[in-house]
Amino acid sequence: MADTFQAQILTPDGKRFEGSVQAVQVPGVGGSFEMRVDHAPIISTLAIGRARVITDTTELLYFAISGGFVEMNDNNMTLLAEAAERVEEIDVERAERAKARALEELMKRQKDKEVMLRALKRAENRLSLKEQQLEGKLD
Amino acid sequence: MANLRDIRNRITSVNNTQQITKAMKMVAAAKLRKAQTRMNDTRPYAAKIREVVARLVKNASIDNELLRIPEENKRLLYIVIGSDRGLCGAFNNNLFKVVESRIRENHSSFLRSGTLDLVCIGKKSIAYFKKRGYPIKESHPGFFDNLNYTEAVKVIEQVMEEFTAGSYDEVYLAHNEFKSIIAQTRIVKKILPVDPAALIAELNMDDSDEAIDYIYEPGDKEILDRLLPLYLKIQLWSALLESNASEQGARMAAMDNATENAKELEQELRLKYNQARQSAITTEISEIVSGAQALKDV
Repeated sequence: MADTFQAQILTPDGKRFEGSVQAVQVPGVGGSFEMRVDHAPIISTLAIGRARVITDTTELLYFAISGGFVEMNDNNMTLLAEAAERVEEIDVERAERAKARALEELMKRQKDKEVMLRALKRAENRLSLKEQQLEGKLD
Repeated sequence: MANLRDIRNRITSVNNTQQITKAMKMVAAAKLRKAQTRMNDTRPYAAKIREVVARLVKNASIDNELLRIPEENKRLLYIVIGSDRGLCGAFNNNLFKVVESRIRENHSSFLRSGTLDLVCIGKKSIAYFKKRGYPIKESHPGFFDNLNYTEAVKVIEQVMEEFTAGSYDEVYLAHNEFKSIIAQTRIVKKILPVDPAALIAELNMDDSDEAIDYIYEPGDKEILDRLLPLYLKIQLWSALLESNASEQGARMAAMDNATENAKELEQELRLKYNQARQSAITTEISEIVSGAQALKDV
């Protein structure tokens, strides 16, 4: 069995994942990167995107991450996200609604463009992940 | 002596009240459990953010507009978290009184010159401060009916925006902190500008932590720029959850008290009722007896 380390994914609404893992791939702002055992201490901010966890039983878990940051030190990784969902738990309808709303707001308002753009990105991220999962194209 | 029927009616009404307060207590207990779980779910996230922020601000060279200490305090903002519903004892009033005395002691000049504003969360807090003529800039009624992170973030984002724009020089947050089911602590603390010293002290970091040589990706300044807003968001969010749990606890205690009182009152009334009933019977008997006596005498 490959070397493992402890990882947890936390959000303001609670713990999304905790356990020993072989690797975690996260959406860094400068591009996606993967952490394995004995990674140097790091703190990195995360963009909106997906995280992939390879558990100690080589199970693959995918999460939709709505920005945040990750800290790893002494083989303990903590991913803090404002929202994180397992791809299986993504609520497609809700994401569709959020996307439609964000688009509508973007069309008619000049204010808060940034906020709406981010909301749009979050919704699109969820939808594209779900789509990939359904098509079996997640790698 | 009170009328028998009047007493009976009162007993029924006290009994009804007792049933209602008992039911409310049980509802509060169920809500409390839920609120406590939510509160506990947030704690690891909040603790981690605090830890990383403290580590970053310890490096004093880092500059951020949310850390900016104003040269002169010109405008202040108080965020007061109350509840939406009443019937929870002195939960709201206790906190509001602390806020008022705090303002009177430290910032009465600001209040007089109209450079102090309030953001009120919860109907009770809005009603209280409105009645007393405080300038309420923003009110959020019905916040606790659907307590969610997204809404909380909107509130604090606006505050941060105004702080960075220089509209406010200091921001305070007042709320009830959950101590136990029956006890709350009232907290009024400064949340902006973020005070690095307090953060570090709160964490109680020892020197061994310093030794870790973190890679900061993309850079420590950029991370702090992202993290400080997150830190403030989670501060407000935990305060809201704490307040919510405290409210349910306070309501539970208040309703328990009310039920007890109703029970006592009912017992008292029952005693009175029996006394009245007995004296009525006595009167009746003596009437019959004297009636019979009168007949015999004829």
